Amino acid sequence: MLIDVRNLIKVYGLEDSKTHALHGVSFTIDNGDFVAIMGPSGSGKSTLLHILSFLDRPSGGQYFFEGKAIEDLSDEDLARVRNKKMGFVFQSFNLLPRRSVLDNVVLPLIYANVGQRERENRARSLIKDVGLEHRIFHLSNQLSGGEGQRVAIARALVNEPTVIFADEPTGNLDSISGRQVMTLLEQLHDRGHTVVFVTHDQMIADHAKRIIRLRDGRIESDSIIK
Amino acid sequence: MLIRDLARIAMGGLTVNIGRSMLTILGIVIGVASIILIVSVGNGAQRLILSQFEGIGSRVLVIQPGRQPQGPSDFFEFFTDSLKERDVKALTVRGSVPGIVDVAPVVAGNFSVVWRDESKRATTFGATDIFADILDVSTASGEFFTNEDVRQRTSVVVLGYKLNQDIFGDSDAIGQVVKIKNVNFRVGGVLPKKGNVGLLNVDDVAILPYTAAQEYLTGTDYFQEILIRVENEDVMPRVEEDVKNLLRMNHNITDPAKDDFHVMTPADVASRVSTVTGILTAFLTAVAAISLIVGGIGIMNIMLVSVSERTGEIGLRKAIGATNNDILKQFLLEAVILTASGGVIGMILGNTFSYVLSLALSYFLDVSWKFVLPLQAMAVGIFVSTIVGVVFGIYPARRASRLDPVEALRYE
Ligand SMILES: Nc1ncnc2c1ncn2[C@@H]1O[C@H](COP(=O)(O)OP(=O)(O)O)[C@@H](O)[C@H]1O
Ligand SMILES: [Mg+2]
Repeated sequence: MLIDVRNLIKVYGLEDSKTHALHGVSFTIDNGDFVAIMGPSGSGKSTLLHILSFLDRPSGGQYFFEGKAIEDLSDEDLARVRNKKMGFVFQSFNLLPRRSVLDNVVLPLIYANVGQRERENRARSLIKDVGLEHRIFHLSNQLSGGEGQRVAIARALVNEPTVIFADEPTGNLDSISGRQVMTLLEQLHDRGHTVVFVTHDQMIADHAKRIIRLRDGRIESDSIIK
Repeated sequence: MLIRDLARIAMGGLTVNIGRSMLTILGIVIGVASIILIVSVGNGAQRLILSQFEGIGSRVLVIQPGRQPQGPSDFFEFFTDSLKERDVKALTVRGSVPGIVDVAPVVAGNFSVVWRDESKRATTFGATDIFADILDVSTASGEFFTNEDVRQRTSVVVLGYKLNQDIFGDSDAIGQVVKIKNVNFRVGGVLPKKGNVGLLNVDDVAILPYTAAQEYLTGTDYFQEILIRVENEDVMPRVEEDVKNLLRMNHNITDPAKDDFHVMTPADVASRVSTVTGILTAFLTAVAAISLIVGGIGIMNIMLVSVSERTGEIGLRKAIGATNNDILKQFLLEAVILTASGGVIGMILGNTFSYVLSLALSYFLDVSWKFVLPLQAMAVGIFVSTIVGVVFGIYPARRASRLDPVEALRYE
């Protein structure tokens, strides 16, 4: 089991202006799962994904990642696990501006102390996999939206992560680019990666093998597809 | 993270906006350049003045009227008329002070030297024949006046190199008659190009027997200086004491605090000059150091702007595995690279200015001004600018490292 959350609670704000974003969420995700987290805006999808991906800590409940409780891990430890085991794809791509595609893709490996030759080799082959070898030295701000998100996917994969987290990865894309990105995520799943993504779009969610629906910070349904 | 990667990331952050990086370090560049320039020019001036005092020789004592100057208010003491012929006589008497070789009284003035329709103002020195030895010059043409001329009040004058050039140009001055204060003086000799000895530019002076100067020019019976040549350096301190005692006796002074004269050695003068240039250099350096602090504050401001502009980048780096420490190091290194390169550029500029200035001063002031590479100031400049980077970079860097990744990622 890769992820095991029990009764997760997240409260934002202090005393009089508290927002309960998650009200006790429990589920598990196995290695190799392909999970869509769905729900209307404000239902707590991003909050949940941030906690699952160690970007934020829960206010209550328990989270075991590969059997280890994250309460026991320091911020440094969390950064290291994010670096080694997780890949991230964001709605707005979050590429470093005015840097080449290659520079962007190698970034996680720099923090993993991988040598320059090795990391460039890995990055090049991933850039090829997402079909952008002709853009390798282009600056990130010269790319189209679809290309940008494919660079982000290459970057998410460069450290050979166990799990890839994506928050509305198609949210800023036209439908064709969106479909290309989903195809890439499907391929990752086929190759054995665990993929967890957030969307409010049913068509996009249908690419997954399992859909967890949230409403007002609670799980409304959790269903396996096909 | 590997050091090389850290450096590359920091450089990357800076080169993305080269123009701004350059503007950011301007304060540091100016600060370090000024420090280097000031120290280098200060050292050059000091070296020049000291080298000129070496020309007088280390065996000369200078007696001046008035008590030992303690400050600017003692300036007028120099106009005291306490040094007179009888002092010269007393000092000249064989055996009065053992160790004295020569005694040379000096009457200083400032008069126009006129020849036909040429007229030139010059520093005039009434002196004795040994004045030439003390200045360490001998005539380029003609002869210096003799002791006999001094005794006879002969109206003869020796012209400095430049003074002669200005008045006579290429024609021969020897034997010509010039007018000083409407009295005829025969030009007995012309000095070769000599430059400064001490603070005096020998090329600009007219030298005549002091007796003639007192009689025809100043109309006074006192001296502005009495120069004393001493056998060797070892007896200097004793001779100095003996001379003081002798003069006190001559002037009926019992309390040394009431001295109406003072004795200086070239070393005294040199050390006083060194002290003055040292104080000036330190003062100006302090002013320049303030500009370094101002430069540091500028860097801090720009770094804060940069951190907030790059919030998204910071969030991303954290998301993909940068620790707080990695981010801190990155921004701190950016600040240090900025200030240190500002320091290096300032150093190059400061030295270049100083070098050009040394050439210009040598040319225009006609002195041999040597460019001094201020190694110490350079080391201090680099060190201080690096420290400025750390001190003023730490706050923005901490801010960056403590950003919440979720918040930072949301930032567009
Ligand atoms: N940093 C925050 N501070 C306060 N409230 C927040 C914060 N982030 C999210 N929320 C609130 O928590 C709830 C869940 O938000 P979010 O997880 O972003 O929902 P979703 O991604 O499903 O749209 C919302 O009511 C939102 O306003
Ligand atoms: Mg959201």
